[in-house]
Amino acid sequence: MTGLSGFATNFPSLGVARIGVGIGEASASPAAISLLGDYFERRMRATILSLYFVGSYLGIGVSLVVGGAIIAAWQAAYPDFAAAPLHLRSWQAAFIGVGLPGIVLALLVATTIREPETGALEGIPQQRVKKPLRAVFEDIGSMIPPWSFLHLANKGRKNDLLVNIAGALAVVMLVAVVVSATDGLLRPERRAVIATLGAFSITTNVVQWTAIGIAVYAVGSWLQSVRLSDPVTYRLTAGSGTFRALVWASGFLGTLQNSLFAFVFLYGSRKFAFGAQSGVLLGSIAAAAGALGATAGGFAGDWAKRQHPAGRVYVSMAALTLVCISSIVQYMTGHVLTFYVAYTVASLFNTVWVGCLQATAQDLVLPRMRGIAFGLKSLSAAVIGLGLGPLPSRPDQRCHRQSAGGDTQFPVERSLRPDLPVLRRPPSLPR
Amino acid sequence: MDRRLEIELDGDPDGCCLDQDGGIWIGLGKSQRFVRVHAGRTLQSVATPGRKAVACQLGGTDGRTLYCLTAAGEVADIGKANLARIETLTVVRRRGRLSLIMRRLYRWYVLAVLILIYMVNQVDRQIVTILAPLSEARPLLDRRATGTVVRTAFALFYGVLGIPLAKLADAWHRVRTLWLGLLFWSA
Repeated sequence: MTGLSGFATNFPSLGVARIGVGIGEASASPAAISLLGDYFERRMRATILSLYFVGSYLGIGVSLVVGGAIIAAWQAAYPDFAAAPLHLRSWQAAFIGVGLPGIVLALLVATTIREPETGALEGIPQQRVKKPLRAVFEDIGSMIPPWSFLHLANKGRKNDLLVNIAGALAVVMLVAVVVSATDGLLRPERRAVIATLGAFSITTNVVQWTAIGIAVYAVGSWLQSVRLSDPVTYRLTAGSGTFRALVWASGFLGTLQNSLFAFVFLYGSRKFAFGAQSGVLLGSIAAAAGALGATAGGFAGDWAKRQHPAGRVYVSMAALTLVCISSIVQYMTGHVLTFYVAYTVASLFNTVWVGCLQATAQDLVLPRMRGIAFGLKSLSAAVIGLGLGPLPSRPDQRCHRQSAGGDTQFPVERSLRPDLPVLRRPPSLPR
Repeated sequence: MDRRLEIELDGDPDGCCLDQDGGIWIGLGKSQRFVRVHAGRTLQSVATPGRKAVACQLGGTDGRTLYCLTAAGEVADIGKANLARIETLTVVRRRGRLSLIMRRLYRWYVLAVLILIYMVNQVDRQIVTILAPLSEARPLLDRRATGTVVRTAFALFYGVLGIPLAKLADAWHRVRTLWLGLLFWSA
């Protein structure tokens, strides 16, 4: 879907390709994390998962460097795109260029990676599901009405169906209430109209809250159905208070992580008149300290786990306390060096929890539920991100994109591409 | 019949048994030792000084106790009193050194490949943001309102469909789920 994006000629086809990327990517991490659980012992879980998550920091850096390099090379080789192979423009070449390594990796995985027996390393052999594809389609069905109703009518008690229908109605009403409440708060340019349906205009605000509503219903309905068909999975995940706390915590922490770093360059450029050079520095610090903090956090978490059963959670709590303290210092100080030091400390400790909490969630479930446990965790991050997404977004297009993009990207992008349009300063923030 | 040579042995091998890892423990009779062979190579050896190694069997709760039947004297002495003896010893799981090293390295290779995949995952997610400011791509990529819709749909599909896809990995085959998914989003 990434490669195909390069051949998109209009916005709808590009949009479909991007959604395809989202669906494909959703399958990767659950499978990878479950595999790692069978290749590495439980006691090194936080270390291994932290190393895995470092891949995302590498990815942000690589996307900037490789994307820029392909564009530069293509524009130098074919100043007139009509002369280029297939009349490709540089951005199209960049899409195709970043898609190709994925295909090579897919072949490498298919030929060289063995499927270990689930749970063998932990000594908990798992029963195989007899008809896996059917189970998957049943799962999808349990998220979408009317199949979700039918499913519960067949398997559940009368109450389950009633609860489900009441839940669906409640979600619809809540979305309507929230949309009308927030529409009044947003300026018209922040709720652009995308399409009109009769007298009703569909704004970006409507789309975002509808998406959250769909997600909430889908997950609630899925949980209801799992409770009936696989009570063990339900009890170990959504039915467990510890697991629920972990899911909420990592959802909010992920959002915090993104938003805390999304505006750091903006803040620095206003308070200390940072230029592009400082942008590179901020970006490099965030990437290096983030990767280092995640790796060291994994080691520290596994060490602490050997000292105390809740060691990984304590490590995360300690690290996050340090993040809070250093962030307060960072945004209170008028001294540039103090700002940098506090920023470095915050970046270093802000990724410690990633591997620790993921390992804790994995420890709570049986080997056959590892993928689901990860899926539930990342879902909460996605839904909370969707909910908080509209709030920091501003009409200033650059800020908006950054808040959705993530931490290191903004400063690095600014510094690598000085030709970007100059940032417009949102008038509401004091200088 | 599909015949295959497992191993050739010297001396007068006698009883044997299989272990959990696909190895074979063999009593080597007059050579006075029990050996464990795997994939045509002798990997472990237990000497029984002064006694013939007759037969062996693995047992115990974890299948790690080797019951060794040994006998003193010669074949002619069979039937005489108190010459045979069964001793037990706990055998540790040991593989060939090279295969052990390869196994240790292999899982780090798996981790490296998975990290690379996660990296590609992130690159493919970020690339639109990087290309959008390009003047020639702007008409197609840099549309704020519709961009919001696509981003929202991306998050919705990534999050909600993540659960059935995780189930696919858990219930079906993780390696296949991984490479098919990777091929789908990269192509």
